[in-house]
Amino acid sequence: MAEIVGGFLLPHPPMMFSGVKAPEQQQKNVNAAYQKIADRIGELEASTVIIVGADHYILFGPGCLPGLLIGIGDVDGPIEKFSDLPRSQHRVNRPLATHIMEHGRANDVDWAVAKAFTVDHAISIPHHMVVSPNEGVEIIPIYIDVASSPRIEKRRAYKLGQQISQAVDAFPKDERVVIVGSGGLSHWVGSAPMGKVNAEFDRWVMALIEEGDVDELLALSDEEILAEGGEGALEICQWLCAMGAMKGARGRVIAYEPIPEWITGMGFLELTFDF
Amino acid sequence: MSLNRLEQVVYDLGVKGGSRKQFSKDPERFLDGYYLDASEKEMVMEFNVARLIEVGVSPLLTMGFWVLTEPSHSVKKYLLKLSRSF
Repeated sequence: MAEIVGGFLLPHPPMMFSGVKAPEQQQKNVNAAYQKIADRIGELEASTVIIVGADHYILFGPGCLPGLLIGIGDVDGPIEKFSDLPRSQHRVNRPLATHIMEHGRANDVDWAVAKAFTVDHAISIPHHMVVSPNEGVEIIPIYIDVASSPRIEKRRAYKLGQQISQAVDAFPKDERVVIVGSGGLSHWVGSAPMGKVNAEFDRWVMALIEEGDVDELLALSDEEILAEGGEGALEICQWLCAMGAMKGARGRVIAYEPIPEWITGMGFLELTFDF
Repeated sequence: MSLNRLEQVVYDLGVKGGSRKQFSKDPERFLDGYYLDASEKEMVMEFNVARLIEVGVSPLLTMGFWVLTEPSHSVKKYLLKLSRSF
């Protein structure tokens, strides 16, 4: 039988792969954090990593904005041209992805589906940093619309995590599944404060996750998040989705680095029931 | 004012090379296909990203539009343009 054996929350700043240097020690700390997560995925003997990301108005425009989308077939990425991250195929666990989609549709999750899909950095950066180092591990890419209005609500994202977990539990074959919430924390993208990082806000969010205080996070309004953490902090939705899939888990902080050079407060946590 | 159509044209110019090519050849003719009014066309042709954000266009779109379409492609100039306005 399939089960969710672990979860991680991590950032995906594209500037990491655009030739922009961060201060050396911070860069080392960030690389160590990603490596720690890659190692943990290996220790957990994961067969599949579900990566929950959000589009950045790159893949989807005003003509079609899927609220909840799952990739079930051929996937490659990133769609962006990064100097240090070439496009590659990402192996997908198609049977499990298809099952999650079908189980969802039978249980009131109106999944949009991608059968052949070039993903953006929200999926490709975690794939590169924490999945690829583990040979044979496949992914399932999921997108929640948090960047383009009308956005998916935080409560819906959290509930989606629970629904994903139910779908995984109902899969008849043995799979050890890890879920990754990809995004955050504070970053402003394209607006005047871009480059600002709000470490106080980021640490407050991580402290809530350490306590497992989902209610406080769900109570945040989008206006509050935008004011304190910028457009990028709305990606807390992906983190809430992962937390929903591991209901009752608490976060264990792996690292936090505020890096204005990468315009992002970079938070890394493991979700665990071991507390 | 059609925010949706403004977002559509800014999105197309940010992600579609073909759109950028047409826009650079004949911006007026390109924009005719989006049913924009005169002030909206002006915002786009003048790369008035501050005004675009002010009327509700997503900053994710305006930055992509500027970086891919505005002749300097400079993020620094983009932010300078915003900082002068906000």
